[in-house]
Amino acid sequence: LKLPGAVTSTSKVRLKPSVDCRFFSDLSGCVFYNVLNNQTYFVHIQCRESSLKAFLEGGGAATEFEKLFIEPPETLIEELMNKGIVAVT
Amino acid sequence: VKPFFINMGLFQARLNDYPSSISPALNQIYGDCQPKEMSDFTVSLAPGSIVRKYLRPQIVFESNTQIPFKPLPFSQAYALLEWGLNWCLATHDFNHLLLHSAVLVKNNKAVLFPALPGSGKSTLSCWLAINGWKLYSDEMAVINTDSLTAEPLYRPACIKNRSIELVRGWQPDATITKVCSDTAKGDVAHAKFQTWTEYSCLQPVEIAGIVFPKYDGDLTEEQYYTIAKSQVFEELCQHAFNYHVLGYQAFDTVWRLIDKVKVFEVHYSNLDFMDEFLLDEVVGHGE
Repeated sequence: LKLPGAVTSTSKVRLKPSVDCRFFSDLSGCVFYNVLNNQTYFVHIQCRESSLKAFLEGGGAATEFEKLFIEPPETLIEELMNKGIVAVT
Repeated sequence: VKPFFINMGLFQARLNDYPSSISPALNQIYGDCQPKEMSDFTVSLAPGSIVRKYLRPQIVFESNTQIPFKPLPFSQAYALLEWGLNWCLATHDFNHLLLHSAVLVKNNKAVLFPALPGSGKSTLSCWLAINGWKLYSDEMAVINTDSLTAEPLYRPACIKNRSIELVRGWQPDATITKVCSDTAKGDVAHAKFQTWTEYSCLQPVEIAGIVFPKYDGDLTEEQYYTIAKSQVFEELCQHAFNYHVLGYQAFDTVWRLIDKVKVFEVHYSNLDFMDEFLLDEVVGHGE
């Protein structure tokens, strides 16, 4: 059973159009900015590579997204979804 | 009272009404500045009420009909004026990113010292200003959102408590205002380290680094380390006066700034170490 909005192994994750994403050259994490509500959201989790923004804008598998981070919490995508940063389908 | 024009460089305030007791401090700090034709702010320092003019006298800071602070004891008038001018800049300038940070410049490169009260930021700023650095600002970094350069302000450094005597000891002829006692921050004085002529030669400069200083007198060995840039981003957002107003522009500016500069946290007890560290690791030794 897949609940609406629930993240499963087949979920696709994509950055919402109103959100910009930046990551840092030291791979220490990333920040998101939502122009709809002027909110900044910080993710202090080390990234593996700099392709995060391109990945999110293009959309991709949730499992692949999590692999871009080093030891991400299981709830990362849900947190991003709840903050209105990404859409999960 | 004849208006006094406080030219801070990027901005000017017209001080319409003020007690004669602050005239010496005004002349010490801003007496040599060249007034511009137009002022950006109109401010005044006036007694709170007729009663308060005579009974435990108080003073009120007013800017363009707004009264941002509660009245303070009359003896704190000059400190209130400086805090009021900080408020004017922080709440009216939306063309720059404003960070609660000192800005020191050497070899044409700027270092930002965003720090919480009590971290020794102002004392460090004064010491560097006395030892060959240019003090662009003690309280507020004014950052051009396009070029990411730091703009100079013609403002004094606010020194508190023990630092007042330290600065006097480092530079016996320093320009320091009379001490305002028992303010919310303790004893406070304002110190100036450059003349208007010297200030007029300053140009916006590239920011080379962001250093979070932490003074610890008990430290036996100085320690410094780089900080995660994502952490610095969050810190700077909290230190920005107008991040919420600039919105996306601030987000973009802070990110571009952090990603291009060096970021450190330094725990120090020795001021000579800080000078060496900044030259070695941040601004370089110049040509």
